[in-house]
Amino acid sequence: MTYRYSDGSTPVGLDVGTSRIVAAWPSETDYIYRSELNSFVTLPGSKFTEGVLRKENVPHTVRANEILVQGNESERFADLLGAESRRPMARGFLNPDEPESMTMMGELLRSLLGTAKHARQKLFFSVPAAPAGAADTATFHEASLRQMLTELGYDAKSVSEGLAVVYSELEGSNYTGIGISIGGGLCNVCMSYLAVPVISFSVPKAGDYIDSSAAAVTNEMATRMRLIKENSFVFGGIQQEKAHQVIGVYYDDLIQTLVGAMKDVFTKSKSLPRLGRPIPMILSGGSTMPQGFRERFERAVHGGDFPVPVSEVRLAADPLTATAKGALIAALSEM
Amino acid sequence: MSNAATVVRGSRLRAPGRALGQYVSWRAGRIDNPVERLGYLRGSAEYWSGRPLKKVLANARLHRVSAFVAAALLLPIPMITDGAAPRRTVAASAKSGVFANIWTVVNAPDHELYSNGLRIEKRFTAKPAEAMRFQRWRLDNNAREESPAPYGIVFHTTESDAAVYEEANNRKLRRSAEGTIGFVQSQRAYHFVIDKFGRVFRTVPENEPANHAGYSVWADEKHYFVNMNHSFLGVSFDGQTRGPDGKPSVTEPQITSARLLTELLRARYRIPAENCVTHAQVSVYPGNMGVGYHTDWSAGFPFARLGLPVNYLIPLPAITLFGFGFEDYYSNLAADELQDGISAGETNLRQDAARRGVSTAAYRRMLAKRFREVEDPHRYVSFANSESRSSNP
Repeated sequence: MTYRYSDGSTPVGLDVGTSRIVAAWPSETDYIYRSELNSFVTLPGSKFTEGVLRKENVPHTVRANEILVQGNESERFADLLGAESRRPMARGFLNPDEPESMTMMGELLRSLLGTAKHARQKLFFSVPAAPAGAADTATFHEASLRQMLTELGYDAKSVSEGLAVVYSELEGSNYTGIGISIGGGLCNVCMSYLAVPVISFSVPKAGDYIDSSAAAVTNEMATRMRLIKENSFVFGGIQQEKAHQVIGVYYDDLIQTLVGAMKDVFTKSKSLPRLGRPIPMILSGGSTMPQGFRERFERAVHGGDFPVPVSEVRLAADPLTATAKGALIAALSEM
Repeated sequence: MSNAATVVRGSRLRAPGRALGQYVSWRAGRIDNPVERLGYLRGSAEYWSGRPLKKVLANARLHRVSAFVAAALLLPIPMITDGAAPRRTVAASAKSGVFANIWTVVNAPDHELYSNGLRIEKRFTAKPAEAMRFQRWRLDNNAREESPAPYGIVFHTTESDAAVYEEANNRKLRRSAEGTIGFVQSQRAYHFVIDKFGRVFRTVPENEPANHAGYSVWADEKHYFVNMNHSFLGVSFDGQTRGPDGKPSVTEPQITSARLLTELLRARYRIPAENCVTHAQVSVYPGNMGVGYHTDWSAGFPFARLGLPVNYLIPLPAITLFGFGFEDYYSNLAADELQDGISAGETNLRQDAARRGVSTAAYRRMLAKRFREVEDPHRYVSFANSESRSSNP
């Protein structure tokens, strides 16, 4: 498999998530991924700090009297300072409450991707489907990202996040099925029929909702809840720790909400294709990682009158990179 | 919660219907590489969404659609050009090798009579000119081949506006026909003209070129034909593709005679059925790389009644081999049967582009370049005079 332009460069797939930004490139035999935390932290400005950061190759931006550390290192510095890291995005879109969102998003993309090698270098980036009442946000979000990527020199096109999951995982069914991405800010759902997105929608509940809700109940920081959720939480059995119990409750709420939304939308939709056979459902995103999540989700799907026959519910091969891989495959298909 | 917090986002792409979906799915399943398969599916989706299939299908008879699907599913025949060639689906091939046994009964100075009942009038035959060798080019190596026998038939209409076909207009009809045929003879425009009464006039001997096809492209399984005056015979119906009622203004006697003439020509020159096509199917204009410069018989040609398969279903070789487009010319002909060949050609083109991992636009440019390489301007010659274009409709 060789997908290279004549100068050796390749198309790029990009998953712009609330928590992480993941980029994908094709290699000779597989795909290469790089990711950055989609966050930053502010440090007091000083020549000494700046020198240390430069020496350690920590991505940062210097302002008049402060230094902004972005990407993967931001979490470590946030821990050191005992502060919440700041987020350029919230609930799937550019964060309207963060004055530095555009600037830092641009810096993150630059440090992750670099500039394009030539003007025709294709880049497909994921965009969420719009939640109710936020259609303009989706348009602005997409246009802003496209502009940033165009300024980096790429031939940038958007692809729905759920559809990218389908492109990543469902070649075996000719890209027919339901792709679900459960990330930090949103749950994105896309039903695809022969690579055509028939229905796309999003639910504004995802990992951040679990973190913040659990943090409110336990009086902990949301960042700590996220670490517990990602590192030690599993479904099933009796939860000994209160944090685990609370996270389990909100996970169940998330699953019920998402499955309920799918039932509602699919039932009311007039554009459902007539499917000759049951279709697969793919789960991806960081919030699908806890052990037992797939089984819990499958039970919810098969537990009621789900309006679409589902042949299987499975996790993406790598839930953290599936969206970026799907975006890359879309870019390669247009090369 | 559910619906209050969700919104369904529309797609500019339209999912294919069930029958088309099965076809697209089947074709996609033959592509092993997932990236190429996705390229094919996305290309197909964009194509079917951009050119509403519904409009075409709504105007097509059910049996033609069924035949199209069946032919597309069952009879894929690969075409080889440079090793990176488009494929086609030839619904016609089943009848290609069936030829009638016809012999000459009478060969008089003014007419010929054949054993199938065909009578050919010779009164308007042009004076003998230099005989020619018919030409074609191999798809696999572009080698030119020649033969004294023509390789196919292009059907035309004269687009003359004759009187209404009724007894009271006998004299007018005869006079009009003979005027048209005289003009055709002077221009060496076709080899044969069939008038409203079904009389068949030979205007140019079959071993001489007629100035009928103009800029044109066709192909069969192993060969392609470019600027086909040197390759195919021209047979014209005296009438219009769109008469006053919007339908072809040809008569039953014309169709009957056309069947007998086609039968004779196919048998005499061993012409395969898929090489019996209409002028609209082959006509191109290199100036804008568009198909359909001439539109005679873009719809309504009675293939079945002439003992031929419905060749409108063949993907247009001008599109699949040389990347010609159609948007400008056929936007007003969406309902015509020619759209079947255009649609199939475009689908093949996109699929082939996907298979090669290039965009459709890039692949089209590549094919256009190939056309410019093979299209020798000297192949196009007008025989009646030195004009560079034919005068037929």
